[in-house]
Amino acid sequence: MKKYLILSLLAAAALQAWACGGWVRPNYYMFSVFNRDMMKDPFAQETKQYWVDYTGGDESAEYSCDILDMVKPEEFDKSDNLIIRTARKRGDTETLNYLRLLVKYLNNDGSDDSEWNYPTKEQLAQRKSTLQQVLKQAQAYKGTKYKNQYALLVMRCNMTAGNHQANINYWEKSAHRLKDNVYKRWMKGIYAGALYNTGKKDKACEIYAELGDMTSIKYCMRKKRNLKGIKEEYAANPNSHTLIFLVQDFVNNTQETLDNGSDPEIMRYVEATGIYENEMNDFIDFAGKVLAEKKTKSPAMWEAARGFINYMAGNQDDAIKQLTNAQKLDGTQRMRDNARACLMLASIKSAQPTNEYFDYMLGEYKWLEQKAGYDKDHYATDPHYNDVFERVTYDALVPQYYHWGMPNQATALLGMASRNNEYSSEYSCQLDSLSSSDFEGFKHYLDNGTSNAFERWVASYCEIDNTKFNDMMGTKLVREGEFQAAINYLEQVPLSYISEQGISYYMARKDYNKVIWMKRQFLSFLNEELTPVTTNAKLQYCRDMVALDNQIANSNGEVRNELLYKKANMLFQASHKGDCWYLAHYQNGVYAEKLRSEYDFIGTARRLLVAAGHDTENIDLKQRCIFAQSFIAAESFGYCVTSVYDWDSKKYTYTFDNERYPHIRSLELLLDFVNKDGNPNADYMTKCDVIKVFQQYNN
Amino acid sequence: MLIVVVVCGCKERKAIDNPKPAVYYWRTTFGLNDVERQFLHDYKVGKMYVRYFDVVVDSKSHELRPNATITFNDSVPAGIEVIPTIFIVNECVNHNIDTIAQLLVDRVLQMNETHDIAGVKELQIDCDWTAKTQDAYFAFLEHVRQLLAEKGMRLSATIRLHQLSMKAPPVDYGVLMMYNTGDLKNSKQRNPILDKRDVEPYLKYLADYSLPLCAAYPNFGWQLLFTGDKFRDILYSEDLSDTTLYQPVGNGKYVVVSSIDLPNYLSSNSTYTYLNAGDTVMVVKPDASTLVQVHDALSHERPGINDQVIIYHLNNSSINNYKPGDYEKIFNP
Repeated sequence: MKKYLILSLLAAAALQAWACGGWVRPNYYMFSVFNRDMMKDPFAQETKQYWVDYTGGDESAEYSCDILDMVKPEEFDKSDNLIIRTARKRGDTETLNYLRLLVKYLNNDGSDDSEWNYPTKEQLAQRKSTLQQVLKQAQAYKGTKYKNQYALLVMRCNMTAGNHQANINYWEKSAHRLKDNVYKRWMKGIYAGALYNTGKKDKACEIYAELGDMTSIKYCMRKKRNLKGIKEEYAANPNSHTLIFLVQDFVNNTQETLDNGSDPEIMRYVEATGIYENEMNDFIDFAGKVLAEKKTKSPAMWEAARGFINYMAGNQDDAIKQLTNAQKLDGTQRMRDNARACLMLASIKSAQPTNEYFDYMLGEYKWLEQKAGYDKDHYATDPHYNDVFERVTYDALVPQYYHWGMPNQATALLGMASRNNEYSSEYSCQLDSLSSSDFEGFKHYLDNGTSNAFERWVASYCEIDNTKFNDMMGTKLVREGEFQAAINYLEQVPLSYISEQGISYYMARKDYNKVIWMKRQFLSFLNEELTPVTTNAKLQYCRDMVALDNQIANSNGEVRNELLYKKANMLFQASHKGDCWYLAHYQNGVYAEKLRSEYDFIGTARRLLVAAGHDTENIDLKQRCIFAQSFIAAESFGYCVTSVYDWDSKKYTYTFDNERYPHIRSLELLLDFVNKDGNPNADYMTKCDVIKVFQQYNN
Repeated sequence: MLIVVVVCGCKERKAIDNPKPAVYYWRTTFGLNDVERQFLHDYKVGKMYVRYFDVVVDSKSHELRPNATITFNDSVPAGIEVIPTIFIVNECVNHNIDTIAQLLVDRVLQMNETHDIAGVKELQIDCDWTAKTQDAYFAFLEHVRQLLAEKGMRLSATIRLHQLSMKAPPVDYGVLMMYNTGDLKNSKQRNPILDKRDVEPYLKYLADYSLPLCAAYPNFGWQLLFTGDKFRDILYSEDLSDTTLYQPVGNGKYVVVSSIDLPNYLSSNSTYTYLNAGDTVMVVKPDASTLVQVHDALSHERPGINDQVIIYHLNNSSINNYKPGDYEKIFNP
């Protein structure tokens, strides 16, 4: 069970190269005393397994079982379905007869809501009649091999026909005496459904709980999923099966409330704050009472529940004490493991960065890995313990490392959790966001700075080889506008390395010398593919920039103005808005923003254009500079214009937010230039669509 | 001699043929109670746009299939024309939607026959198409329209406000949806059902829109669930007067005082929404004066658009959200 905590808008459709930013990570529930697989169909797997065994261990029989409803009764004898084919091959008449009747039922159980062929009136009548036939034939079965299966068919027919009372009678008079197997348990589930539908809800719920059918319990208990419901259930039966569900549900819901409560908005509601605090305290008191009464057979669950609620309520000492104690009490092993996992999380809150504590964490992480059952690709066989792993790491220990002033350890922990995933991990994004000096410091920490066994274990997952280091350092320095310094690193990066990066697709196809405001270089990310590059454009860009700066420093007049114009284009190209964003970034998207340590490429470009346009007497350069400024300003055009409809006069008026978007004046400059008699307006000026709209709004 | 001929056919395509007061019926079971029958009678409702089923992408097979098909437990009152309406999830458009044109038409015709729904002359498709899905969706509509024409039937489609700025779909007329105009996530600032500020930017497209149009207006209310200021779900007719679960705090707002689990209204699956202690439920209803203002502005921008008004939707609990006089102003201005 999970709910999403962070909902930031992700430009999923426009991410390029690296998928970074806008992480949507669930606030995984920590408290788990029953396996989440119990939320799935409780009978499907076992019934499928019967047919897998019947076919001699052929796993594809599971699928054949799923699609039995697609076999048409009139085509049964020719059906290629593996299960039917196997029975036919063996001459197993008894199985064939059962399957034939089952197929007949599945074709008439009314579940064709999703079929394109809508039944005719005659078909509806026929269906009713067929269902009666199946019912009679199932009731008439006298054999033993499929006794339970035929009985189940009887109950399914009654259920489809809405004859709940018939099912109650059938179960209570005969079916409950059948031998115990999955079909009988399925029948009992149908019986519970019949009880529920005839108003005997409590009895139905207890049966669902006994069957471990958590999905049905959830439905049954939907009005009792609170402390009041827990108290009622406990009063009726201190060892009621439903309590396992209700207690877990309560703890998870409390966690959900508090996780969302990190949003200060919710705290505005005083009533809300009081309510959940009262409910938590009441639960802690009630769990204490349950433990004192000693009627429960699962004290480990109750002790862990109050311990974890205490942790969430900020009662750290009680939380640690109770979560530790819960591991020694009676209950299932999962209940005790649950207490241990909760303690691991809770301990971080009050921990000090001592070697003793890190030894404890090393032990707990290794235990967690074993419980999660990770394979070589870090895929967990028990997803709950993977959830714990992620919550402990991302939501508790990483922030605690920052709190302790240990950012390198925090970054390394992200690397361990991502298993050094080069792309699409919080680690890769964290590495990308580091400044060049912080990145250099992190590399030094990995190579020489770890100080205990836990840090060394974590760091072992975070290798950064020299090529990766040089590429990232060079890119970070380009991003910071340190072009000369970047050259030293980028020179050491082989082309083969860049060719294996997502950005190679863009680097091979986009040229930073092309003037962006005259011609865009659009490429669809949908066609993105690794492309061998013949030159490292980042390196060439740095060399060109250094050379250009030298030329600017040694020139004046119109030559200098042209060089400033050229540099403005090159700077803009490398920005997150530029076509050649790959020069300074590993990823880009429509919602990309200037990074923390990023040089002000766009602002500097704008200033250079203003200077060149102002100083020049070359009318062609002047109009190019004005147009380029307008191009940059047009980025925010949509944000700064507001249209208002007057509901009385039924007319629109437009206003510009000049204060927030002062650069929008560039559009006025362009408009004035275009409208001034005698100016030799180029096509790109007069045909500019933005200027047309701007003019319309100004009229 | 120079002869200037000015051709203007735009006036001819403003209103729809055979307009009548109308309602949408948007439930999974067809059955009318006395209040609903009286409503149909009082306002001389002549057309009922009945949602027959949705079209979704099957999560396993990834094929398109019908979902949530309506069950007919009652008959449509005599004299009311039924327009079967199919909601197609936009995601379907990218799954070879054209392959289901014939299947869809056949299913609708069979449903009419099985349930003795006579005199059906039209089919309506409802889909929130986008620029990305437009081409495939329009090709599908053309195909459906051609199949219907062979049966002497016509095709209409819903038009959302944002679609007014796009090319018009190839149908006989469009129904402009004047509801769900806002963003549920920001409903604390605006009424997400109908807010003038959300309508404003689109009025300018009305006059030149190339399809005949009529308009559909809301009468429904919503119970919106928030955690803090984050929208989470729509509740389905929850009894907010139960003070053991909800505490009223004014302005149509309720605080959840005890955790509870409720069916999820937004999901087509049988899922549930957790209401946690401290969550808030906001009751949002359309405002009659806004409705009339928007109705009048539409008439001003595009005369004839209100010749046929459709109320979304016929439901006992929604009918009383307006006074009879308000309905009169909308149906018979």
